[in-house]
Amino acid sequence: MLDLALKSIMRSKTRSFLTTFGIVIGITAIVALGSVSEGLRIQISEALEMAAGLIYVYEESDQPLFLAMASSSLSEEKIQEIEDVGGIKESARFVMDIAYLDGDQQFGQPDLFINGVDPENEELLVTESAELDDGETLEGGDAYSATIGYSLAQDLDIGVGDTIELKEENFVIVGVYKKIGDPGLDNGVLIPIETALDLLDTEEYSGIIVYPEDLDDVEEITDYINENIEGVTALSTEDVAITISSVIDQIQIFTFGIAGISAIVGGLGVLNTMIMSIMERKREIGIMKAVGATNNCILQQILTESVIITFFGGLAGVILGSLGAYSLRFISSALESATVTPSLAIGSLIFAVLLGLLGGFYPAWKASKLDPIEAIRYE
Amino acid sequence: MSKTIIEVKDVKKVYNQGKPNELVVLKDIDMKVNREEMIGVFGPSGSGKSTLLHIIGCLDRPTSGKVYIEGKDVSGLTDDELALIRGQKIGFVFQQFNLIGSLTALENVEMPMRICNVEKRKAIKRAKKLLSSVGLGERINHLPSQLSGGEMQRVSLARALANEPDIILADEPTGNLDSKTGKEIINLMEELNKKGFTFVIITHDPLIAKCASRKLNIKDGKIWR
Ligand SMILES: Nc1ncnc2c1ncn2[C@@H]1O[C@H](COP(=O)(O)OP(=O)(O)OP(=O)(O)O)[C@@H](O)[C@H]1O
Ligand SMILES: [Mg+2]
Repeated sequence: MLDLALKSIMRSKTRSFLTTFGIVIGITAIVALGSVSEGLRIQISEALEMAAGLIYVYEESDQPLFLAMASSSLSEEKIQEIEDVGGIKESARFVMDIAYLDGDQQFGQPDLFINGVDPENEELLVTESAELDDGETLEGGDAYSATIGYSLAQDLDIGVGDTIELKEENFVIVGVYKKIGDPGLDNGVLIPIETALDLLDTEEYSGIIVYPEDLDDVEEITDYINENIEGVTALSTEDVAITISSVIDQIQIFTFGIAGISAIVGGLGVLNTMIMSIMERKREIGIMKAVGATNNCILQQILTESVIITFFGGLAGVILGSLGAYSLRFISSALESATVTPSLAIGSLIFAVLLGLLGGFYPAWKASKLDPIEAIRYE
Repeated sequence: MSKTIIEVKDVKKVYNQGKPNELVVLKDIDMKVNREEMIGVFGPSGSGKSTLLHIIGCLDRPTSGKVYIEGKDVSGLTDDELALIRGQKIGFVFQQFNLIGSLTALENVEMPMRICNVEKRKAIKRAKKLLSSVGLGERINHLPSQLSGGEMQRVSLARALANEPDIILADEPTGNLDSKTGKEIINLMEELNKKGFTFVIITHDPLIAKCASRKLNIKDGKIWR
């Protein structure tokens, strides 16, 4: 009896609209916020796919993964010890630091990453599948040449042949990469490692990337380094993926928690509206029961009404949330990857319908238990 | 098919049983209604006529005693089973019409059929036929508020007929109408009775008394013949 349900909803248009609006807000928040973490997940899984088979080795630390990697420093001896492990095809030691451009901090993206790498092994750091958009790798340049990531090139509007100043030294850009997916590289500058050590005034390395001769040996080599070389941690791409995805899970729980609360408030609105609606329609419900409607029939009728409200609220929320997700990219390039995946859209819609069922259940149950005699006895 | 369509045996109805405001409305009611009868139920206000009608119509349950509809004991049935009997075997007509104000005449007549899962197209067709049979073929898209009392009572008669019930129970059907429109409704009911519908009509209307096939008087919770 969908037509009857629609008729009841349309009877009090303003109230139904406001109730729907409550759901729209909640679902919009879920979709828009959810798109950020979904985008992050996709971006990182793409980046890790490109880096498959690599092993990262850095200084052992009690800190969480990213902090540990950022603050890691390994001596020349340690690096050599790792390079001497069997089964390694290639390796690239690197130094990494952050720099600000003239103290000019951009919102959301304050840092520029300086990566020092052996020009001959540049592809290990940027991964084999990274492609140059323009120019060439460091291999062909001199000590003060640099390759840069695509975001940096865009943000600063610079390209091959331009110079970039890092810690009061000028570097000539010889190559610009296409999107890699790793913020440290997309917003980064790659320079020859000897120059980087001088520039950063250090003799220690941030870490080393190892590529095995046989891809099947990745776990074995990782375990070997962890067990036999003191003071370092080795992580395969797969390990990194697991760690990162647990971080994203936490972000997601947090954002869905906040957005979920607003959706639940919307659900309370549905509860409130439906309770008011059945109070007003006591007589009508009693009459329906008198002419043969079973309790179940009334229950379904009221639930249909509340689900119609939340379904269309959810649909509008998914559309608005998608528009919101799209407009996020104009706020900050860090939010550029925000993506409304089909599972996010469908999941949000299912959640909206669920809210309708939950918010509508109590009023529907109350309505189904109404005594028809009370309704028809008196005007 | 048995002659008796409704049987009421030792029915008692007590409101607020065991409390200080206990009220015995019906005591030891026994009655039988035969097929195609038109029974008039009379009695002073507050004597329990409506209460009896609701019990016969499976809207209410007796405190004790039994009610048989077409030979079937309905005392042990669940709410939903009673609802099905109301929907399929019984049609109600009320003094206050009890139409749904937000639905048109057509939708009001359609509603009991939709509740009993009659397909929408069929329900509309039948509702239109019923409305023209009670002389309202032209007014099907009017809301109850746009109809006169006599017209509203015609709509409720049409609604009572929606699921082809065997029994029509009417509670003062002419009580809110002037004598002329009351007469028209009585004529309609007489016609339907001739077509084979069984009627139990609560009334104070002497015109109904005249055409009833049998009269029952309720007083002090008992039936006096
Ligand atoms: N739910 C109830 N609780 C308590 N008392 C009730 C209830 N319903 C009805 N009564 C009482 O039962 C008595 C019979 O009511 P009923 O409506 O059956 O009378 P009636 O014969 O139809 O009267 P009328 O001719 O005025 O319509 C009345 O005194 C009424 O106040
Ligand atoms: Mg009465």
